[in-house]
Amino acid sequence: MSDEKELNRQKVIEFIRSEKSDSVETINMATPIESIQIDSIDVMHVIFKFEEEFGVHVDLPQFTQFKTIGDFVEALLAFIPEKGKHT
Amino acid sequence: MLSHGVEITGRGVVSSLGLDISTFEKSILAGESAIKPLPASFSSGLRFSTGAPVSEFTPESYFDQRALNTLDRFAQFATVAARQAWQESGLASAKTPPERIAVITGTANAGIDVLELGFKRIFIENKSPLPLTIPMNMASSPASRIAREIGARGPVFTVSSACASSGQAVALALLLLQSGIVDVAVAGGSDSCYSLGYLKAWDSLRVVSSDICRPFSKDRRGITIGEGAGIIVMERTGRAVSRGTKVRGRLLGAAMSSDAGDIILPDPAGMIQAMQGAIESAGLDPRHIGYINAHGTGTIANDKFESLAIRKTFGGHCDSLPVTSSKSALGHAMGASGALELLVTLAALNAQIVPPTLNFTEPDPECCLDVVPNIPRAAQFEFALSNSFAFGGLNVSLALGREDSRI
Repeated sequence: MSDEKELNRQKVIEFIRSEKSDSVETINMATPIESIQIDSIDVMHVIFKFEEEFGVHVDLPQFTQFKTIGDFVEALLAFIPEKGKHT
Repeated sequence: MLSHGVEITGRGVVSSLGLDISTFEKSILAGESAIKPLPASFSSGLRFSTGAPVSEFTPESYFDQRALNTLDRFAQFATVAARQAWQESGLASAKTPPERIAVITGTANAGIDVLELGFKRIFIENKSPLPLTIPMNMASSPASRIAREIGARGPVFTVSSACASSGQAVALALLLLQSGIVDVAVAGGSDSCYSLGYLKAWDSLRVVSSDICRPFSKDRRGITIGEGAGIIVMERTGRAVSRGTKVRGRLLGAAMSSDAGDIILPDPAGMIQAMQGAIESAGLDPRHIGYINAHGTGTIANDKFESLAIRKTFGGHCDSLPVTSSKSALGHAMGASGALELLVTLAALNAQIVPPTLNFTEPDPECCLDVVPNIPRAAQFEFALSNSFAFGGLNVSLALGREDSRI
């Protein structure tokens, strides 16, 4: 399960990197959100890609509450139902 | 009276006959046609098999992914055309107060490609539409994008009057300039027409020619669908010379009218009112007009009534007045057609060549005009009209002159 979660983390970070055209992969879990100038349209597209990839519906609170990319990624991953459990 | 006109200092085009003004002008004046057999992905299940899509346009050459996420195809067309026009005008390095710059775009369809994609995702794939479907679909999105790119902070808005949209956008820009509200106006329009649902809708209306658009020809059967964008930069007279910028032509007058009648069938009275109004507002007399770029859709009704209206407006002058339809080369680019045909008219004025009416086979006694069939013709003329007469009886006629036009 933890391997799968790590893979999912990397997928979401890739979504963010592609929105920010981050070809040198400077964005990681520890990156402070304010340092990469991510705006509401970027966030919308990342959430859209996440929903498409994982077949879930995401209803996130205000994006501005997240301090790091990791906070945002973990909040998204929480929407993926754990295997064997019905949500 | 000619001092009322404005100067055209920038031209931009995205068309089925070229993605820059020089290719476009060369092609249209040589009598080339953009109408081709449609690819199989479009033509199956349609009663027509030809069209004039802008097939060479590659969005990635002009926009990064972030911009493409916000711009539907019609907005991409308009933005690229506006960039060309703005560059030609040399205004990027001029210090025009931003609030004195207007942007007026026209579109008949708005962002139909993103809607079609959204409907497919919703109704067939059980998915969500794209996150930016709403802003991409907005008819005014090209105006907003152009304003952002050039920093225009004056009146920025969009006209949607079916196939008169971009002609009316240009007419309104003239009024803003003449009234002194702005010093510079970027105006024109765009439409994207090659989504299957849109083509099917035209097919259902049964006005698309099964083979090809033959304006004013006795055997005409309807329109051929085109698409694209035409944008011009217009300025109050005198600004260009002080900046050392070349004037590409003059918009001398414009008039709009409404038939107040049928949603499809045109009324010659509305057409006459628009043409007479444009000529009068330019300070001209009908006999000064040396060329008309007609609306000329290739439908039975339009060409018959437009011919009648031209005969009534110009009388005996019709015998020495060439009237041609560029829709025979470009197809019908809907809301973009007025601006594209204005650019054709300017090219004709500057080159002193009348672009022909293509695909012409047989004169129609009900279209008794000199339509310059199939082959371009050299001519001498100072002034020209460009007509757009839309569904719903919404008409506009633009009176244009050469840079140094004199009566």
